[in-house]
Amino acid sequence: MATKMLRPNVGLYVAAADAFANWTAPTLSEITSATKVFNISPAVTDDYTLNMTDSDTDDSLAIVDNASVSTPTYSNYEASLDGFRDADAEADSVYNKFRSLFSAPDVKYYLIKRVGKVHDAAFAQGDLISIYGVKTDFPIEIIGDGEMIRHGARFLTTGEVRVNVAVGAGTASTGPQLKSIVGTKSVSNGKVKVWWVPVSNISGTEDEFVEGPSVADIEASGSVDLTEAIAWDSYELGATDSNKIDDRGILDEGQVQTRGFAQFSGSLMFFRGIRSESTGAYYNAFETFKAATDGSRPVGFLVTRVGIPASTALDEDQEVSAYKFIADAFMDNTEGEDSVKFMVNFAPQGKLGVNVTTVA
Amino acid sequence: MALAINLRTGKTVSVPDHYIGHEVLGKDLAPFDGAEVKAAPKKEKKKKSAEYIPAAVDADGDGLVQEGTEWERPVETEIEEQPAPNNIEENEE
Repeated sequence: MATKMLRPNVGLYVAAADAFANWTAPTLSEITSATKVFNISPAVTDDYTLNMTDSDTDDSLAIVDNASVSTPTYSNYEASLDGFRDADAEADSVYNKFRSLFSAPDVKYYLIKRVGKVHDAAFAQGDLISIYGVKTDFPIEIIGDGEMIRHGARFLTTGEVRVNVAVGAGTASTGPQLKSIVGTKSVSNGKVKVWWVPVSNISGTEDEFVEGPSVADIEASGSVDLTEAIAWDSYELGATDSNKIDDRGILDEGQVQTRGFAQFSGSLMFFRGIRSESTGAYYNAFETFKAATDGSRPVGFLVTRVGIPASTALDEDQEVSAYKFIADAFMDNTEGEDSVKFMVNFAPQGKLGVNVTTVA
Repeated sequence: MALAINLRTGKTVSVPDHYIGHEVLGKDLAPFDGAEVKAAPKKEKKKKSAEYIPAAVDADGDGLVQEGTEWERPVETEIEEQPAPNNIEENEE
């Protein structure tokens, strides 16, 4: 009788760009390298994407054809992995390994999927694996009300894809490396800070600021800590997938993408304070963005810090992200039974620094 | 809309009127008066090696001759040349 395979017979692994002598024919020695291949399976959320998609096609007809023709040309595939953030950023955990592997853009890897064994079962000759060549994009911080903080690893394809390839002969080593500590999930609530830093508050150049945001600039008079005034409702702030530009060479048989312009967006819903208030977070947020039509839309950086308790003071050597925006539309939100709020849409202004470290 | 200067960073920016003097948003902002802008002082570019021309002509009609040199002077004015010092010691004394 045929037996269906049940969960969790899948494992996801990451191999360094130089892990294989011939990536189309990985050997057992190479796939079990403990220094070049990493088991990230426990960190990856279940809604990952790592698969081939429909190939591009050619619809050329021969004169004898009497119906439509669609002939596959080059292979397409897509990759997108979300991983849990560790509550302890210093822990030697799978969660932190996942984050460190995919924290910077433009790093080449091979993503490997094995279906048929649990993730930590030793590799053996003949195991079927699928290999997807990728380059990292800017990562995305995924947060939400009552949700775990996740690190969204985004990728561009390199055109290197082979599915269900058998692992070749070789001497097994101890890899893929799997950290002994999985990690501790971290909930979004209470671990997000957002500051508004007007461009006039930047003491150095804007490029210097996005490479290493200055604590002094973020805390200077004129900068505003918006955190307390922001509602979860409609929260949207951060990097999104960069433009993916098809960029094949004549040798490429699969989909090859080059990273185009980085993309980011911002839209924040603020609580509205009562009119008699002339101090406090609600008042400050309203005062900052209320003049949306007088021709002087505020221009500045929204700086976010994710994963550190909001009560922790900003300090140098903390990881933050900075996005340059111009505050655009101001929209009242008075409907429903909840409190009165206002929404501000922010238009991107071409500069961002993702997961950069603060300086004094 | 007002033009303001951030007194901490020295950067000029256009801000909503209510930012100026605002307890939170405008402590470091001061109204920026464009008239206060002073052009950077021009560097003097004098040709130290120029020779004194007693009968220099005011070709551009601005009332000065040998402009940009150590001999720059009003038209019809002469400068009595001083002999160069014979040695360093004499000059220092």
